[in-house]
Amino acid sequence: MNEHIYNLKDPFPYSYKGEMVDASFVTLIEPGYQQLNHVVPIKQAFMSAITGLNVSEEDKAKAAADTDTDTDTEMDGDGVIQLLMQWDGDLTQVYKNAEKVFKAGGAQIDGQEKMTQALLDKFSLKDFEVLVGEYIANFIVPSLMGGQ
Amino acid sequence: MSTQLNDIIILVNNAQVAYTADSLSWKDGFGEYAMRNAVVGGGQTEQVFAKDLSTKFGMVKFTMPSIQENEDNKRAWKTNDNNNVVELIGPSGSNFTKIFTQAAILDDPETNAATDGNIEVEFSANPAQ
Repeated sequence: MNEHIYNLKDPFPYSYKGEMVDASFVTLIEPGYQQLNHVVPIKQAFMSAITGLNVSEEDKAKAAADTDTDTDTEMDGDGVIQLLMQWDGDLTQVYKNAEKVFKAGGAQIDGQEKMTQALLDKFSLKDFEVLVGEYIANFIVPSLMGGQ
Repeated sequence: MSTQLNDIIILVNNAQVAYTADSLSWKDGFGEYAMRNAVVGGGQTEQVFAKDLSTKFGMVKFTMPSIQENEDNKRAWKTNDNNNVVELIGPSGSNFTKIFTQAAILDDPETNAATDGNIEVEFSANPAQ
C-alpha cells in the first residue's frame, strides 16, 4: 500500500507508550475499501472544482507551453487547496470527509499512532489544510488520472 | 467570578473518554508530608519536616457507563501496563491542563452490569505535569 509523508510545520505533543512526545510528521496511507464512503465525495468535489474552473485561453496556452518543457507540473498539497478555495462548493464538507478518512486508518502520527479526533484537534489550521491537500494530490488525483 | 472545575475533558492515549458526571477526581502526586517534633529542652521543640518520596504518585479516577466501548477501553488500558497517558483538559478559555505519564491501572477494575451500571477506573501515574 502506498504511503506519503507530510512534515508538520507546527509540531504538537501527543502521548505514545506512556510518554508525551512531539509529533513531527504524518504518514498518509493510500485509501482502501473501508474509506470508500468518505473518499468518493472528496473525489467528486475535486472533479467538480477542476471542471468548474474558468480557465482563460491565455492560461490554457500557458499550460500547453508548460507541458512542452521538462518542468515538473505535479500539483502539491498547497496547490490543491488553492484550487479548492476557488471552487463554489462546500469545502468544509471536504475537510470533514478527510477527517473521517484520517481517523479510519488513512493517517498515522509519526507513522506509529492512529489518528483520533483528539489528535486532529491539536493540528494548526495551516497544517490540516495542507495535509488534506497532500492526501488529495497523492492519492485522489492519481486515481482520477487513470491509476497509480 | 470563579468557575467550578467540573467540565473536564479526559484523554487516555490520545482518545477522548465519555465519563460519568461528577465522578472524576485526581491527585497531583505531591506525596505525603510528615511532621514531628524534636525536643530541644526547656519545654521547647523544633519541627522536623520530611517529604515521603515513596508516596509521590499521581492518581486519576473516574467512572464510565458500562457499555461495550468502555469495557474494551478498560481491558486495553489494563493490559497496556504503565504505558498509558492520561490528559485532563479544562474548558475552552481556561488554562487548566494536567498530564499523567506512565499511568497504570493497579487494581482489577470492576464492571457493574446494571441498568445504570458503571465501570470504575483508577490510574496511578507519575506526578502531574
